[in-house]
Amino acid sequence: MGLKTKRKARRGGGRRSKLTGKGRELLGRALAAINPAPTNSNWKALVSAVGKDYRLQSYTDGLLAQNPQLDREWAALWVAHGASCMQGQVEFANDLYAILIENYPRDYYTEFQRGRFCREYLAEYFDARAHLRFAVALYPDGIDAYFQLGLLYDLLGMPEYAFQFEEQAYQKAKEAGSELYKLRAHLSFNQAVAMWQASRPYGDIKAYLNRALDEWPEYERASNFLESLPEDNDLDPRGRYSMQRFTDDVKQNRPAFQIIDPD
Amino acid sequence: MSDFVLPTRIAVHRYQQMKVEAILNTPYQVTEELTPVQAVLGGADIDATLSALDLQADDAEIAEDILHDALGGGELDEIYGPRGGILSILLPTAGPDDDLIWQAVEQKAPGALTQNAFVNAAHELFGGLTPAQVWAGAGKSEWQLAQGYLPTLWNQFKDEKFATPGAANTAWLSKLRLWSYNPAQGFNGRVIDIIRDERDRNLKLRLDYCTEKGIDTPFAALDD
Repeated sequence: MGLKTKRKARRGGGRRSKLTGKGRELLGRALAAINPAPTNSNWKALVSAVGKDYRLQSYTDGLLAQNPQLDREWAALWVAHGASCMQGQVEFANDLYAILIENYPRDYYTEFQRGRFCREYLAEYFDARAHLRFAVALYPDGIDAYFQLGLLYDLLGMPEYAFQFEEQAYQKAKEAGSELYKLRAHLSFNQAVAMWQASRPYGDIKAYLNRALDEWPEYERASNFLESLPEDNDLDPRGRYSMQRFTDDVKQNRPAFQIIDPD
Repeated sequence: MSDFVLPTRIAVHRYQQMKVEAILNTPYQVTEELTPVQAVLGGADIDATLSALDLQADDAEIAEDILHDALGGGELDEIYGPRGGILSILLPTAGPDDDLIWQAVEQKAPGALTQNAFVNAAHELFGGLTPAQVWAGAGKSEWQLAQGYLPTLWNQFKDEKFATPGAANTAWLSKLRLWSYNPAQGFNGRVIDIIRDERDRNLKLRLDYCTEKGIDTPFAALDD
């Protein structure tokens, strides 16, 4: 092997790296953190595997097809960023995010991981909101960003909004096929909790718990919650009946719920 | 705050603000069985009222701002910062720049709320309180509930190890939300409803004063 070919091989490709300084240092750390490390022959498969884990394969395939500038270095940073977000490695995740958005196009997976990370590890809930909303704008068919928005709005004390985002995630999970039944059950359970928080009638709360149990009959939390609820379906957790509830809703200008009629 | 610790500096700041709001919305003998807000809106001198309350200097400073703001009918900007009481105590501070809903109102974006609807709608920056409820401030019950619950929360988490300070805050907030939707110990009803109802009563008092004096307020009740 000649000298030039050797140098080329050490860089892992024929292209000159766009990363300098801190970017190169981070790339080294990212490559060391990923097993197997991305090479010129496997990086697309690695990205695809992450996409598959998050039900994003068609999105990641499209991302690669539309952005020929993406390469092994991007893949290393992209995969390492997602992993560092999940593991709560604050400094590494922050640095990787900064390098990614400075040098490459923004993408759904990075934004939704960043949103989750901001909520879970930084307590920066309003930043989380911005990243998750951006993720949804980049890829409206992604389930996880809606799921994360549901969790976020629950923390923000907005159960009506959490409910709506969970419904979006549920509908997308329904389109994705039968294997996501546990996720759909979890989402339906969260929606029942949101309704309980917002003091909706027990009958509506039960409908969502029943939907969770239809999806996954062994879901213990849902059956326990269902059993704990009073029999009177028109009553709500504030002790109100429909007329009082209607008056309060109008007075408080609260957003309406989309009530389902379970199959 | 000797028997518990809050997870962030902003939470401590919010706690102090809540305490002062609750003081101003509680009736005292020295203010003739009126709340200090009521007394001032009824014509009592602000300095004399504050002096009767005998607050510490930094609390008095916060109280003075609140009383002046109530007298003037309030300003929208006042709702940002460390306001929002126990339901917002673990949230980061937010300003108008973080308020996407307000920005839509200001820009008259398609589908945006009117300003009147905005101040009366549950808001994501304030733990589900409306901006008008934030302006009206915490009351005695909210303060009592917070005093009862925050030490419990501290005891629950004080020996736990968290990956980051933010993770601790998120765990606290998650528990606090759950508490807020459950029946309040020693009260009749759920924590969240007691807090909202009390703030609504505090708000009505201020709005009645504005109506009586012909003062324009951005926090007017929802139009029919």
